[in-house]
Amino acid sequence: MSTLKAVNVSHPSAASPNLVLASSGSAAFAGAVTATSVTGGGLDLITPTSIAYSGGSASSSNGTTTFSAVSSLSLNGVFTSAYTNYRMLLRVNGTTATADASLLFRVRSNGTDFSGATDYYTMETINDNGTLSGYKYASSAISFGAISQYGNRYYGIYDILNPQTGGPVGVSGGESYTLNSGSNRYIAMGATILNVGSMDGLTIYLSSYAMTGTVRVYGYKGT
Amino acid sequence: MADVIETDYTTDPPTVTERDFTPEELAQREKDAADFAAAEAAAVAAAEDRAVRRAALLERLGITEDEAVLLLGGVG
Repeated sequence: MSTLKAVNVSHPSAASPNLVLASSGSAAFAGAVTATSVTGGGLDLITPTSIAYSGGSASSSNGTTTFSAVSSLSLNGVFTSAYTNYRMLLRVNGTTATADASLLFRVRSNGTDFSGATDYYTMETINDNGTLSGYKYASSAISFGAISQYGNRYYGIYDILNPQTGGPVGVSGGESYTLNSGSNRYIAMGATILNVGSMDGLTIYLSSYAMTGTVRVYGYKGT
Repeated sequence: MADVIETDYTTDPPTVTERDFTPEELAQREKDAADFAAAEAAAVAAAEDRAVRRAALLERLGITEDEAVLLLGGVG
């Protein structure tokens, strides 16, 4: 096997080397490193076309939406024909809550939440102190658990399946958080949203109080 | 302070619009609050009922809470 030895690798028109190789074996790139996506795999971080919120403040940059003391937050333009399935990472690391408050989720279209009275069918499996139980309900939103005085302990991860093509929409994932009593909750959930049209966005909101944190939505490549 | 603040990232710089709730949004919020209160009340009532029935069942079986958890496979 032959070895090509060089220190600097440059494009013919580049003013300085694109790649500098060190004797230690490391390599330094002069510019951004881009790679061709793997066909059918991976996730793309999606930047909303717009956001809307109540209370506090929020902004979106490079796919990360940061919110502070909001009671509701909507991301518009995250579901498009580019992807069929999506992943959402939700982190709440602050709250004004002094009691338990439900954290709820809806899909939306053209700036309006879809809120069919009983169109969100959810099943939760709750693991509390090792005792398993199930909770099933039909509602106008999906419960993503709760925040409390321990609102900095909330983590959620969800797959949102088929929101853009006219439904039914699947939502599957889970969250961990601590109730106001100090009791920890680890919930695996699944939901189906029926009678729903093509959705382009989502809303997370609290039944009361306000929350601070970040949310990211990714599109599954090749779906 | 406006009810809703919207930021449109399709413009450069982003366009910020402040507005009050639309009548539809306001109605939905009021309905959500009423639905949530009703659901909370129902959940509390159901939990209380379950606790009463559980206590009665344990008494009939003659076992303690800890023994019930052990019997049902929980880790306590």
